[in-house]
Amino acid sequence: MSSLAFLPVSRGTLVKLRERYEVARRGKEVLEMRREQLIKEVFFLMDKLKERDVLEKELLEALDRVSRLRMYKGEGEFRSLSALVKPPKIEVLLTSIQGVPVPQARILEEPDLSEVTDVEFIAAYESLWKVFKPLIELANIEIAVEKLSKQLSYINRVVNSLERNLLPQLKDMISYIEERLDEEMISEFVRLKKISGES
Amino acid sequence: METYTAVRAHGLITHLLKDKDYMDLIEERKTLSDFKYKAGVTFQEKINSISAKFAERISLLERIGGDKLSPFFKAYLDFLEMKNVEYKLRYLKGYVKEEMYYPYSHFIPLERITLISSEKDLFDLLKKTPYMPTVKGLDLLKLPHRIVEVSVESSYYAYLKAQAKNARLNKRTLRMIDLEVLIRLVYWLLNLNKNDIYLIKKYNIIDNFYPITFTVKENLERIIRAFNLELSKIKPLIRKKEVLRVTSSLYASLLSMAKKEAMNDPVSYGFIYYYMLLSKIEFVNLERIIIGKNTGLRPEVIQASLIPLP
Repeated sequence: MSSLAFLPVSRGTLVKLRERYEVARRGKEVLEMRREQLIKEVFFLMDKLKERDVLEKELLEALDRVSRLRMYKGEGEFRSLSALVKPPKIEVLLTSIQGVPVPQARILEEPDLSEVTDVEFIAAYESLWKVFKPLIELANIEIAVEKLSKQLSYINRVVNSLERNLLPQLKDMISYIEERLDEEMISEFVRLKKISGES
Repeated sequence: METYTAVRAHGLITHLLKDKDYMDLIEERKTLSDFKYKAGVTFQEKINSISAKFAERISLLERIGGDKLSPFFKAYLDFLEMKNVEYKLRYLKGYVKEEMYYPYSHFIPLERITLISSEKDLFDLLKKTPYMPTVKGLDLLKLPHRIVEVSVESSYYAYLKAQAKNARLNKRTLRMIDLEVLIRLVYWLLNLNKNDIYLIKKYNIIDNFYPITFTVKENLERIIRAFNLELSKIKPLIRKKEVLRVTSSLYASLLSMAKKEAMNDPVSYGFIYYYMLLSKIEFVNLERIIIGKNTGLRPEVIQASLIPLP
């Protein structure tokens, strides 16, 4: 039983409870609208995730190419050539999607292969990077979906709580107080009638 | 000493791995330890054991080769040290801290190479070795990295050829060495751009790659013909810049030619060189098998990558 049960039965309480009920009802409506928005956004993003299968296949092909190159070149040669690649610069920024803070990776600088002396190494690395770039974008979408979904589940919990607990309780309490006040009013009326009849 | 070394090479050649042994390794029926490789458990230990075995084989020739032949064997083995220098140059230029070298040293102790932290220090160290790039009138520190790499190789091949000449190897064996060096020239010609090729010609860096026993310049078609290979088979690979497949084909052809030479005169320099070349090919093939297994490549892919034995 909530704290509502201990409220005094009075007109003041009834007014306050009605106000609280109205606020909670409007809050629930707003949250439902927000939920709709987030669901739309998640579905929109989910559509983009369909590319994952193709990208994963391309990634496996690119990795296979790199593995073959590593095998042909030998470990020392491959590692020392890899050392010549200036790695890409990637920054993680906190951005807002539908008001939800989402970390997003941004490529600031592409990898630099200008010092690499081997054309096959360059070709293999470029094919790998060609797949990695959209994969980073995909990871951004996935993290956005994850964060939006968390927000959605939070909103769902709040809406459910309002819908199933707070609003019915407020409604019940309002009805209870209204009934009690009506009863009190009738008994007062009867009492007054009796007093006026005796006199 | 030539005859004795050649006879020993006949015995040593029987210890080299055959096609079946490679298949046993690829299909994991056997391990490197079964072939007397001191391979440990880790990937790095296995890789190190392969180059160590190659060094052990050539060092044995060096011990029995006498004053005339030993410096040539050592120079052939110094290929590993030259590669270490090349790797160091890349690490100094590059962005990765973790360095890897062949466990071999001759002129420069491996620890010194590892500890060097600038290109200037490395060039100072190289001055006392045959790997010092000789580019007259140019500041090595200002040269593009790839030109420096070609220069290091060029100096090494000048040293190798000089030692081969001092060892008074016969002309046919010298021709084989010329062909082996030409494979590296093909590699560079396919990897460098026109401007770089112009530079290495202008500063005579390319000269040490040219053969002594026959005349062929940087004309790829003529080089391929020197390996008795069909141009029609190699040209598409060159067009597609499949350098590794081109060099593998050249090595396979060189191996066949070296075998032919060795069989013509089984107690000669030719046979010793054939053994040395086979040892190097085993080193390359085993490294491919170990890396292929480690990276999870399919057995048929690993098998296709091996340089075929004649």
